[in-house]
Amino acid sequence: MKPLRSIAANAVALLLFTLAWHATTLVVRSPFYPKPLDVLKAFCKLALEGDIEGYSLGLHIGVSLLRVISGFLFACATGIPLGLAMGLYRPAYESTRSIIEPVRFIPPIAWIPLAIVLLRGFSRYVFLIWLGAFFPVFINTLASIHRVSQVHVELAKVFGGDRSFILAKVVIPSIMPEVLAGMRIGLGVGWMCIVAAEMIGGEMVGLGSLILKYAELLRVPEVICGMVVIGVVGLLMNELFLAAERRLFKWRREVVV
Amino acid sequence: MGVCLRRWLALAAVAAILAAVALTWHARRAEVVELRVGHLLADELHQPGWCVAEELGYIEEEGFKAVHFEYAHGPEEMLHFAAGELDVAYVGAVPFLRARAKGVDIVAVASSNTEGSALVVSAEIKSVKDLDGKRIGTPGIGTIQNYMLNVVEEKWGVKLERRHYKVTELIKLFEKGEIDGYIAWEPHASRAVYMGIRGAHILLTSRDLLPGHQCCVVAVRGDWIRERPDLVLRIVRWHVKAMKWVNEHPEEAEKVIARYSGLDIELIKMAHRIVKHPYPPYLHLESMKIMLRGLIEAGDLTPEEVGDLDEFLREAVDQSFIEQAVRGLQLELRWLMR
Amino acid sequence: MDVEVKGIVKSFGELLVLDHISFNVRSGEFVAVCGPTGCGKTTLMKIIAGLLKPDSGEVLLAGEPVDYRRHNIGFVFQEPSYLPWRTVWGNVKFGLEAKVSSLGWKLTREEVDKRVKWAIELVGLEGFESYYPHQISGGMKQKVALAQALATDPHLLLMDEPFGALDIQTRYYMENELLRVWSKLRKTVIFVTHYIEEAVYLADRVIVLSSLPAKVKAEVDVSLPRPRDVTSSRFVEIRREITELIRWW
Repeated sequence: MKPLRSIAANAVALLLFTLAWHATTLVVRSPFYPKPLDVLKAFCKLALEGDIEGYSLGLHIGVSLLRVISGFLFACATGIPLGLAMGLYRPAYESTRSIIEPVRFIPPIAWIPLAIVLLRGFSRYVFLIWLGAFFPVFINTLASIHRVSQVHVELAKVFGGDRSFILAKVVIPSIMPEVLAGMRIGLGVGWMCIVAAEMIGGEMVGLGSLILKYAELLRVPEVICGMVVIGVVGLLMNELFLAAERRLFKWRREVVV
Repeated sequence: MGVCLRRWLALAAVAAILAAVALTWHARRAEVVELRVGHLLADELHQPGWCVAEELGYIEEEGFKAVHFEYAHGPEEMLHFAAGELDVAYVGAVPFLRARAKGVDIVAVASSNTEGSALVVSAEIKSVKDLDGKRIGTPGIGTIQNYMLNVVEEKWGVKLERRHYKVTELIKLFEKGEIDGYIAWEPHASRAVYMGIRGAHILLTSRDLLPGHQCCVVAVRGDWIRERPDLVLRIVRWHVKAMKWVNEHPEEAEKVIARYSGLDIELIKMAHRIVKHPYPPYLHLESMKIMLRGLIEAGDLTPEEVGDLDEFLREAVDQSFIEQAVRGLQLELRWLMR
Repeated sequence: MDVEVKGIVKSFGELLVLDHISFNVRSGEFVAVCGPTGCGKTTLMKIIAGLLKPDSGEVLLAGEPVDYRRHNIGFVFQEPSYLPWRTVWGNVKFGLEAKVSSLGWKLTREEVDKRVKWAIELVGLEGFESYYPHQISGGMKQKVALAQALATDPHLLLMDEPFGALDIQTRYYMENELLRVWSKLRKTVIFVTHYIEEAVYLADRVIVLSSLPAKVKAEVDVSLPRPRDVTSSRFVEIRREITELIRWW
């Protein structure tokens, strides 16, 4: 679909959605079901004046982003090397599966009580985000090694390439697209963890605490603003990542979402 | 013989009518209603009504079987009230007023306590001016305690950096040095003094900020006010009986409070001085009006949501039940003591 | 470089694939290996290259056991072997990179670039250096593989059905291109194919394998001058001869 047409179509879809939303507010008359206009007004106020305690919207976004990116980078720094190592030395993975696999299924939220008692301040966030972002990165890296083409490996071998050459010139370039896709997914999961992490309580800034704050004040339009901002920022990060993937991997015919 | 029979018949009729009345009256009385009562975490000093009434069987006497729900702070309780999960709420005036402004169908029918909060700080902070720029903890952004920090800022021209935590966490964070002081409902502020943490001392109490101000109220669902005033009367009755008892037996009351809140009896005694339990438990409307104004100024509520302040309060509050309950109790008392 | 294949035996589990395969290839000779599909031709090629170890027997290159670290072997695989993330230039350079980094070849950057350029021109891919493999045709992809192998100036060039995936016209074209390049360089080539016409068209000698378990059924000399006329009676005769040999139905 041509970009201009796509933008126009999306604009129409958004307009219809907003109208439908407004229509439902006429039926559901609850103080806790705001009209789209209320949400827009609340957003403008938040953006221009900051929140009720004076913290600006930019600050909230920035702080949440900082926390997520820190945790995410840590997840990549641990997930990619670990995935590589376990992928190349199968026995290492097979013997530690009983530890790794169950942890994968524990939701990051469940770790919150432990994070509160064992860690302080910023490290809590890094830990919780890391929990969310690590597994997509790790698993994708691990699985991608299995998919390295045998032909490429044999080609390198027959030219006399040693292990480190094969690793650097065949394995790593082969797995890059999947690793990056894993990173993109990991970043998304990490972003979703930040809200839960910030809702621990006692946090003054961050999009999660913004939502919690206004929920306590029974101000639903601002709560929805917070939700929308979270969604939009998450979307933007995903799109940026996708664009980077398209650029880096222009040797591929199509990029999978 | 004819006269005898007629007399017996008349007596039988009267007896039957009396029996019928007694039975229906008893039946109505015996209608056991399940009651969902909300209260705040470790806040029995402000809200002794529900636990005393439970202890002494007053709730049961009024034909209720109460289920009690505890919340970290008023705003959270109001959220659950709005969801229809509670029939009665012991809650701070500020969260109550805010819920009303947002359209929650809730009406205050009695007072639970007035004043009763304190700002405790470390030894380094000697005067209110020293508070400028300091980190002060509150039990929640929507609580009355947070509102009172607005009063502090306005009155003394200082700016505080606020942090909001669960009320039982405040003392731990104060100890760790993550906050320089905190404001909380008693006895949580005095607790820091009681335990001698960081040379803690009470810098300000409710009295210094808004003397006689309404703190916790007893609120019920609006539809019962309109459709089941009989239930509301019974609720107010057990609350009034409990508050009467609290006033007449302060030491016993402290024991109950200590037990329910899980805090030291000595601490409760210490903090009791700061908390007031007016009897009869009429609401302090003047201070509630001041709070409304303050909330609008702070941008918490819009003038449109509140409208005319007096009319707002008129609709938010219904004190007729207290009158009835008190009168009824006085009559009972006079009858018992005749 | 002379190649001696001596008594190669290879089984995969219970299945005996290669049953005492022996033949020789003289330096500069173009030998085709022909046989029914699935008769182990690829396995044989990999054993010759040293990628697989036989159960018994040996392969000697100039009298020494084959070792891709010591000997310079070029291999054009049956499946597409181009590295999709590299351009044509990068792909052709790949073999030289391996030699330099892993085997300690002393080549400067300029020397490497010179060789790459030469190989690209040799196969006729000038102008496509910065193209990615997915942007070029199937025939060109195989040219890249050929250039990649030739860039290292190999002692032995092994080609395992390199034109199998191409359509018939491209295949004819590529066969001619291969001959053009070979006639310039005169490399020792072992070329696997199951197209008999292709074998007779290209090779000096055709080694005919039987079906599983594979044995050397016959060696047929094709001493016709190139370029060969596929319709000439001699050509047709040799082709028929080989077809008879291969027939298992």
